[in-house]
Amino acid sequence: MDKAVSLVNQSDRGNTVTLVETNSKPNSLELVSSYHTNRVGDPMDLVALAEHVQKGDEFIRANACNRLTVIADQIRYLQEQARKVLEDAKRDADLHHAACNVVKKPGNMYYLYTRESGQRYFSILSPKEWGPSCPHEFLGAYKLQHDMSWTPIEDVEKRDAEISVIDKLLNSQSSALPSSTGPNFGGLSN
Amino acid sequence: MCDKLPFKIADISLAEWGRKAIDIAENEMPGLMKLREIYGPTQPLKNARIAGCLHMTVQTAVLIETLKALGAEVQWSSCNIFSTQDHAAAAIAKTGVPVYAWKGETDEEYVWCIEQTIYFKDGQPLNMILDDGGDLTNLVHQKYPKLLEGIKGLSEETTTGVHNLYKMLKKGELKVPAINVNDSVTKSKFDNLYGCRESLIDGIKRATDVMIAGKVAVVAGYGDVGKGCVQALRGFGARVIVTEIDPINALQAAMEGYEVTTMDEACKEGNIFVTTTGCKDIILGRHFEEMKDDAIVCNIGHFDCEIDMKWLNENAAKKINVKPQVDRYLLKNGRHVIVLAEGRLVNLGCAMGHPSFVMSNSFSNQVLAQIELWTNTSKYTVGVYFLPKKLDEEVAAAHLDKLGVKLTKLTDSQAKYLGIPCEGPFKPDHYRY
Repeated sequence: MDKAVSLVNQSDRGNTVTLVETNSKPNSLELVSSYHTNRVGDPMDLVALAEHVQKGDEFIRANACNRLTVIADQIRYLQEQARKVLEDAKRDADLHHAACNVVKKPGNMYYLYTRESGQRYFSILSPKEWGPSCPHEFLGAYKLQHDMSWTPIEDVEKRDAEISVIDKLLNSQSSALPSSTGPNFGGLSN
Repeated sequence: MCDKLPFKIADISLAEWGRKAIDIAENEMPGLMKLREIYGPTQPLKNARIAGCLHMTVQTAVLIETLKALGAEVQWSSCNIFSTQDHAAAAIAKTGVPVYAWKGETDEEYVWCIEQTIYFKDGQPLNMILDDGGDLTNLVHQKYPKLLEGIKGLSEETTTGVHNLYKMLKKGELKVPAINVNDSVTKSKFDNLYGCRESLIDGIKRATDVMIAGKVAVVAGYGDVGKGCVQALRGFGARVIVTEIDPINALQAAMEGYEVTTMDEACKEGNIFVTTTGCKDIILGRHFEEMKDDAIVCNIGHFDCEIDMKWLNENAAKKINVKPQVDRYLLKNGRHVIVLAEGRLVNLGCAMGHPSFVMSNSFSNQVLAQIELWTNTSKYTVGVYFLPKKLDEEVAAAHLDKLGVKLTKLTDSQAKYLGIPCEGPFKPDHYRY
């Protein structure tokens, strides 16, 4: 006997209503007619059941989907971050290998040019300082940070702001550091 | 020229350190300090706008501040892309002197720096040149010929620049009266002899820490530089062999008690080789092949053509870089040769060049040359001049107090007997000292 009802267009097993198995002799009492006892009178009852199951499925799927989306987003973000880290590292290494006659000092801005030969080099002279006599093509300006990374000139303000915020945090953290052994987030919450 | 930079240097935060170094140098540059004392009150360089192009070092800082103390307005660039001491430049920039120099310029930046010193604030052009090597002189002659008329004179520090001046004069290109500071007695006779006498050993010791006592040192050339080197090496207890081409110098060396022979002979004996000739091809492949194991070879003469580095680099079995400026070559015969500063000037490559005191001599000549050209302009038509002997003597005199020297005065009758003025000049121009 087929006791399962499928809703139209729902092909997955999850969308069939599974009824509890029948027993022709429940609690040792022989039923007179299992058919009679078990027959589904109103077909809509089954539909309602099926709908209910389906709704559960959908909710769970949506729920899982939500949670997975967060993770997917995080993966995508981390991948993006990883790519950026690798790109930045490559760019920084590249910049460190550009020809340069001066000993570079963190905190200073350096200007990258290309010679006619194709050689790229760092100068402490900006194109503005060169004026019209600037002999080589200007590629960009970079600030050398204290961790020996390079910040392109357009990001310098942003980066400086970040650093100053962190500095403030570090300062207030260390000054507010209690004698207790527990962590202190005092500086972070402000 | 609309928005001229007040200065361009590597790092202004080094100014304090630079000032400390300048304070110490002042004490070791009594000539310059004496000139400040003598000429400070009369301000002989008032209205002079001096563009200077000379190694921007601590010693030069004392020169710059002396020129300012005598009333001049000064702008500065360095005459070498690597010689600037950034802390000295910072200290000078901090006093408001427009200085354009940093260690490690590119060639293009080097010219840019020089060009920044041509026009002073308010667009006034330079009216005096103080040069070392001739680049500023050439730049003004080639790119700013209109300004030449307003320039009263130039003083040139070094051999290379003086050669350039004579060349320009011969071709009729020189348009400014020039004083050759290089050949003042108190310059060449002092920094070549006494400067190298100290800095040669300094360079060898810093590079190798070798014991000099007991070694055989071979010095090629017995000119002023050679004499200084020989004295220093002997002072440390080396046995010194000299090579010479000039019979007069060779005789001098022999009569000082040195063995004089050829490099072909000496190369078999020496442990330390020093070239001081100013000539080329002094130590060649065949000499290297004869040398003892780990012979030290260096040059303090002229640029880098005295030692055949090309032969070494092409024929050595192996080259090992021990540290910057020190290379140990393994020859095919199994012996080693240690070359300092890649055959370039060892006192610059491996030590600190000339000490302040000897630079005080040179720079006092520069100051007096500037005063002479600025105040006695009519005496000098276009040409290349020596500093008058009287001023040469004045440079030396300015250094005596500091050393506690007591000078004897000629009496009138002694002066009459010699036929010279009581106050000098004491020697005829051809006197050789």
